Amino acid sequence: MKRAERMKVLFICHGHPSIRPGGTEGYALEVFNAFRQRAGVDALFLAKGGQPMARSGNVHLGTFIAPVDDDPSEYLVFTDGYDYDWLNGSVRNLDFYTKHIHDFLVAVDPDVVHVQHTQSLGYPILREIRNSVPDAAIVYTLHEFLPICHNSGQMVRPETSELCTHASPRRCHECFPAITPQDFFLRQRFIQAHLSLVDAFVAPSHFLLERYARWGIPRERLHFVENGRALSGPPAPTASRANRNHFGFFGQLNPNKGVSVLLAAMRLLASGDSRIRLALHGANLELQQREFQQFVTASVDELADVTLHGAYQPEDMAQRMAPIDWVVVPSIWWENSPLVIQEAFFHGRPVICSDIGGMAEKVTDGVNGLHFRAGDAASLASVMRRAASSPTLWNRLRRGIKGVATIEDHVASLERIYQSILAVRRAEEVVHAG
Amino acid sequence: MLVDERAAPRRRRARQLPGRAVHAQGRVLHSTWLSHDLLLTTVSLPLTPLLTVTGARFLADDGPAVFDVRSMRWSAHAAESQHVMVTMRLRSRPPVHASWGRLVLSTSDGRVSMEPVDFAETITDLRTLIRESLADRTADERADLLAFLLSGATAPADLGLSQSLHAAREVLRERLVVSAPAPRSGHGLWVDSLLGIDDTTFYVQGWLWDGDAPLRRLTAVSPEGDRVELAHRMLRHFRQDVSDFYSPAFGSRAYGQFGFTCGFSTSVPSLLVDGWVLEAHTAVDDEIEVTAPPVTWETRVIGERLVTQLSLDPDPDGPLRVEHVYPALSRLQERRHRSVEISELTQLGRPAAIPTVSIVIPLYGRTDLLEHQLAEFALDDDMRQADLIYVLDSPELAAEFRNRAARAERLFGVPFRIVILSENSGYAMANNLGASVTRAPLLLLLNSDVLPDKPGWLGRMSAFHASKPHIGALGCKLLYEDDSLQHAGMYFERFAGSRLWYNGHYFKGLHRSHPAANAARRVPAVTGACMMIDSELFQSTGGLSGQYLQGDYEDSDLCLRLSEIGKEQWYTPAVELYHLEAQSYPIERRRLYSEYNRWLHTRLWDSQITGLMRAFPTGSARAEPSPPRRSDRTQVR
Repeated sequence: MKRAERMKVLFICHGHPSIRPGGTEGYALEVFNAFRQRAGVDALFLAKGGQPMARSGNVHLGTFIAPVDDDPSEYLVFTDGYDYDWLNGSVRNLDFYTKHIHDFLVAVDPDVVHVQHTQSLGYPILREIRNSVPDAAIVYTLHEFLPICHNSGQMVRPETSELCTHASPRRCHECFPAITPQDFFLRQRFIQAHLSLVDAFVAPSHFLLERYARWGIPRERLHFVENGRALSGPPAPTASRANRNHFGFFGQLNPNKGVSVLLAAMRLLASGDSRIRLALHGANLELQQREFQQFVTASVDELADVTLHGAYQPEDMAQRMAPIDWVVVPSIWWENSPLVIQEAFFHGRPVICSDIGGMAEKVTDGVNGLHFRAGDAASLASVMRRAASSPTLWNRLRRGIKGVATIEDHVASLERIYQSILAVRRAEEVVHAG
Repeated sequence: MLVDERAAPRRRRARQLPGRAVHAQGRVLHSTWLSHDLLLTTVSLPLTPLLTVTGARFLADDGPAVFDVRSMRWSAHAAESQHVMVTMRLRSRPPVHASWGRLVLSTSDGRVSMEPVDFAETITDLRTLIRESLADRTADERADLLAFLLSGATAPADLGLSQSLHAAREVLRERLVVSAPAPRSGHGLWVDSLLGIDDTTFYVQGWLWDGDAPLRRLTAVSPEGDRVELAHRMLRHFRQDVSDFYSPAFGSRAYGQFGFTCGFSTSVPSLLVDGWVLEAHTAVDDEIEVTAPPVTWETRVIGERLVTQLSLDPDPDGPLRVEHVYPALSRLQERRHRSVEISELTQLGRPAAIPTVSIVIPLYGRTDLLEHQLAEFALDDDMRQADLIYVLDSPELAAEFRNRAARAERLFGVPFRIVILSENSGYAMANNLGASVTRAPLLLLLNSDVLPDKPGWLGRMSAFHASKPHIGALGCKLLYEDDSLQHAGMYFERFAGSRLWYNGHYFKGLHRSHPAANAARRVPAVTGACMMIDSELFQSTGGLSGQYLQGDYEDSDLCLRLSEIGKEQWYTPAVELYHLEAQSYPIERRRLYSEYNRWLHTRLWDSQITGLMRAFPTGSARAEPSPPRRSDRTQVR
């Protein structure tokens, strides 16, 4: 090991928020920015750029990286011209790793590589990290179940939307009949072979951590670290009204966030007398399937009490939150640690969420929020009705909200993890040298 | 110097021949080159018609070395002379103006020497020579001449010679009435296909309608003029389409066995694609002929066609299999294997200096399994120390594969060699050729769709192998992707009503923890998907047999050979790998290939298997005896 004083951390992510807003990318950037403030740490960020998310791709011959802006710490890496194997999670032409990733890693020479996501970059990047910077600590954050589940990592079965508790080659083949059980087995082994190179995994929920432990990741490498937020400014003030009947949804407007369930619940509530209002704040509707887009816009048109607001920047959050009493998180998949829950709690808003996965872990029914039966519009409608009709309930739940972990807490935990791995490395070096 | 190899021992001096002295002289009329080294000459002798020619010699005169001189008397109608046809082989085509030597014929009346002549001046083209010699010849005489030309043309195969012989045949052949099948005609002949297995082995399928009178002879005539009798050996079978064609005019007589299928050999190699003719001769002396379609030479098509013939007769001991299809397929496999060789051998990465195990992995079609295996091997030090050899049996993928292999080695860091074969050769040959370049004393045959469960398995397998002094082949536990047993040793079983032996896998489908499958034990055979064997032992057996089609039964065939020489086959459950044997839905062709392989395997090993299976249980029996029952005294109130 060379420098003992400063620790250089490279973050690798599958996207950059400036290209496309997204929870994972956004959070990865927040963590990166927080590390830049820390003493003794040099931080770098490498994000996958180019198609299909961005409008522009690789524009220079002979190199596959480019700075994001004028900042020497943020880079984009392109895979233009390289074919990606979506089933196994690998760029097919391995030169991408042995040449381009290799060159970048050797030039940057990090002490820690923290992989936030490998989608469209591929798992073999882990093997290349081991090859190029053998002494570096490799840390990997688990955001969803993509290594386990080919259905966008949701562990929700397509067609039926049934929740899935465990993967197996046969079950996965049932979800995707065109892919053989043998190919699913190969996928699992390929991914696990690469993940075995990771020194430490970060999981923001116990629920997710348990799933991965059961899937085969050694428990001693799995670390629970609560997501911390760099939420600035005072919490949004609440509106002064007697009835707490304003609900808000914040997040990507895609099917697995449960938007359909929420709209179906609003339909059921439309005939009632509680005058429940819903504000949809969200991005990326235009990226969804046509049918879904049409359903959403049609529902919004039809239901007078539903308003559609567009995408928002983190700075806008307080303003958008102000008229809202309850935040609804109706995801139909397990969720890990939805950032919106922390945002809601930061602003003192109780959360109504599905009773599964990371949501049910972060929100305790009757303490700081309410649960409804996942995927069940009638159940959600009933909970919303109850919530809207009881101001005392709202007050009690508001009081039940504890503080939100800060980003400083989060990065401090991460730094402890990095240091412990590096300490073990140093000890091993001594043993080998001696 | 006398170089005639058909002559008496060479110690005889030139120009001093036994027998009576020369008393007559003959004249060389014409010569022509039948091939680059075979010369045909006609000579004229001033002898009485009753004289017989008993031999011919060539006394070379510092000219070309000449050997294999043959002659045939070819009587002329002119009273004062006879013609003799002579063929001779030369070691090399001489220059045009060299003086060659002297041709001497032995006859019942003494020796006759030709005038010394520069043969080069007598050279003409074949048609001219034959035309000049053929005036007023009978059909029998012409047939004799053709047979004479063929007699000097047996080997080696030569396209120029084939073409000359074909030209000769066209001039000399008696043409028969061409078969034109018609619904009311009493005879018809047709060839559906003619397969060229190698240059002396052929297979013909067609039909013959002999409603008027039974067939006496069916003769296949090669483009070169070689004649082979088929009627007594061919197999006849029912042909619905032929019967339907003739039944309106001939009624029930049209329902007979009018199809024929027949494998046969020629004495003269036949290389030409066009020109085969079949001649049929019936009891009422009707003679018809039909031109066969061009010969099919592609090995894959031939294999498929031969295998589909098997459906004509399911009898495993029947002549179709034994006398026709099996000999043909056997020769086909030999031909395939003769031509294939290693066209490229490349080392990627730095290999271990002294590997203990060489691992041969054939790749066919699905080459992406390479990256999957290497990603696992990269986690295992044993694999970095092994002599890993990937054999590409799909040479059309060579260019892409070379690049992918090099890239994969750079990323995963496991050194290996790639062997690229000159053509697709099948499972057995790919393994054998891979095994021919191994460096280690131990050999492991491994399928490309096998993935290790945990690192360290190779060392454990080698250790087990070393612990058994009489071991032949070692197999291990192989699992399906759902952790059920794919292999825990192989046995042989027969089902009621069939004489054929099937290969069974002990405990297939049961969970990997099934107790009987977790005992190390001797077994009748082990699978080739993961088989460890001493390298020298493997070489000494000749490797995997190339007789089977499309990879099936080669492993049990090898184990039976090992058993025959006193070696034991063992199974160890301490080594576990996944074998992703895909359940592709069986297509008709695959089923037929399997049936053929099974038949061949039984034909070769029936008695050995019967003997072997007396010592081993079958899959349905317990692998170990059940524990003794507790006595009733344990049932206490």
